Formats: sequence, structure tokens, C-alpha cells
Amino acid sequence: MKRIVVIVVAVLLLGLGVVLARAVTQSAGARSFPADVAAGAKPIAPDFTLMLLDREGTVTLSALRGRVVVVNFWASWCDPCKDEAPLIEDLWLTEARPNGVAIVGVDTQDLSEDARVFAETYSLTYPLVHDDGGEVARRWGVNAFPETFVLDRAGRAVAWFPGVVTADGLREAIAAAEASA
Amino acid sequence: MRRLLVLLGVLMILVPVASAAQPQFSMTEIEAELMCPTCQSRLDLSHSPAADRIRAFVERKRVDGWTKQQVKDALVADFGPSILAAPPAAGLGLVAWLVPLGAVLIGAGSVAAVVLAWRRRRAPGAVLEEPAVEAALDARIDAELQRLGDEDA
Repeated sequence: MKRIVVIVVAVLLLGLGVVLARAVTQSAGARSFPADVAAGAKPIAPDFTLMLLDREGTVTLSALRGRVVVVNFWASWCDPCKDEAPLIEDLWLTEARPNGVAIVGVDTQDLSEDARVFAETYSLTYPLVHDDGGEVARRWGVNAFPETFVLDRAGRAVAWFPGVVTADGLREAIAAAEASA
Repeated sequence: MRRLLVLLGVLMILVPVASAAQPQFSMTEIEAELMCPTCQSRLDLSHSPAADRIRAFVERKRVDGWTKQQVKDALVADFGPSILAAPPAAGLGLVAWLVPLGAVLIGAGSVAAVVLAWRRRRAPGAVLEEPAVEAALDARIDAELQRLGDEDA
């Protein structure tokens, strides 16, 4: 009887330990991604395949290798995102798209219904995807909105903007990504 | 008769429509069962912009006659299972239910084992030897009482 109790307790403690260790390593790994980008380590950005928000189809990040990619995390309830969205749209129409730079807006921790209204309100035409369950934002270590990453042609993150981007800041980061070897 | 049939027909159309649009749960009830995705507190305790949007969404769907489960399913589709205050009893969420349950079972088992062992020790037939020191102490107390009695006399 005593032995069985000891075994059950040990198994339960082991299970609890595994779950806790998994949670700690996952959150630590995710948090380190923006920090690595800021430190200039150029880490490979975590891949994702997400459904387009406003039309049929998906976007796979790794399929965009060979192009500079701007990944912008946003949510419709985020006030600074309202200032940023027109700026990104303008940059997309006038500079990014004509030069083959991809921009992907990742709507996360948000109601897709509200996000569609947001996209319509600001007439956004760059690809917008919805992060179901917020898993991609977690893997990228995003915990505030908006946040923007710029990836070079090899999929390495060369710039990270916590908060609203400026047009000049984004232009510089895109130029750095294009020059990144 | 024809009028009655027409009235009955109209009622048959109107009653399901009216009941479908009836709110099937209260805001207070569902808010206590949901989490704010950005502040990690319960929805009814949060006033963040995201929480306000979720409240507005829930209210819209409630007025439209959605069931509580339909609203929860829609929210889980957008925010993942962490939007629920109580984890689902499946997958990793099952651990959150099983660990406390296991702890309670182990606790109850331990108490039962201790009680059983204690009762076995006190079972009739089991002769407990009185410690020698107590016998000696008894004898000494008796002697002291005897001496005090003699002195009073």
C-alpha cells in the first residue's frame, strides 16, 4: 500500500515537473527572440502559416524567402495601431510592393470580426492574416502592440520595433535587410 | 375557422423567431467564465480595450440569441482555449484538472492510512505495556499522599 502511494506521488510530481519545465522553456525561448534581434544576432524568424483575414487562402512565412519581409503584429483594439496602419499602407503602396518587399500584418489576440472592420476602415491592402489563438505572437515573443520585425532574404530578423514604427525607421530597416548578407 | 388557422400559422412562425432572439444567458454569468487575453485576469474584473471589445462582441451575440457555448466556441477560435477561465478537460488542460484531483486523492488516502494504522494500534486485545517510569511515579505520588495524610492526622 505504502509503495503504491509513493509511486503515484512520484508519477504525479514528475508529470507536474514536465508541464512546468515545458511552460518555462517555451516562454523563455519566445521572450529571447526579440532580445536576440535587438542584440543584432539575426535569429531565424519562427515560421508560420496563417489564414488570410479578409479573403480565402493562407500566408506561409517561409514561402517568402528570397524577399525582404516586414511582419507587423497588430490588433483592432490597439489605439497606436490605428495611427500606424495608414503609415504602413502608404509605405506598402508607394515603396514596398513596387520593390518586391513583402508586408504581412498579423492580427493577434483579437476578434477576427473586429479585425475585418479595422482593415476596411483603414482601407488596408497589404496581406493581413489572423493568428488563431495567439500562438504565433507567443512564439515571436510579442507581448505589446504594435510590434514590427523586418526579415532579410534568408528569413533572419534584422530589426525589431516595439511600438509604433516611423516611415523613416522602417525604410532604414528595409535597406539594412536588403544589404544583409 | 379559416381565421383561426391563419392566426395559428402566424403564431407558429412568430414563436420560434421570438424565442431564438431571446438572450439565453446573462452577461454576469459568462463574464465570470472568460479571461481577458491581454491582462490575464477574469473578464468581469478587466477594463482593458481588448476586454471591452470582447464584452461588446458577447453582448451582440447574446442579443442575437446565440447560446453560451456558441459564444465560447467563437472566442476560442479567435483567442485559443486560454480565453476560458476554466481550462477544457482535454489535452494539456486535462492536467489542470487531474493534478488537483490526484493531490486530493493522495491526501485522502494518506489520512485513511494514518487512521487505519492508529486504530490497529488501539485495537482490543493489543496489550500496551505501561512505561515503568509511570508506575514508579504512581508509587511516589501514593507515598507522598500517604505521608501528607499522616502529617495532617
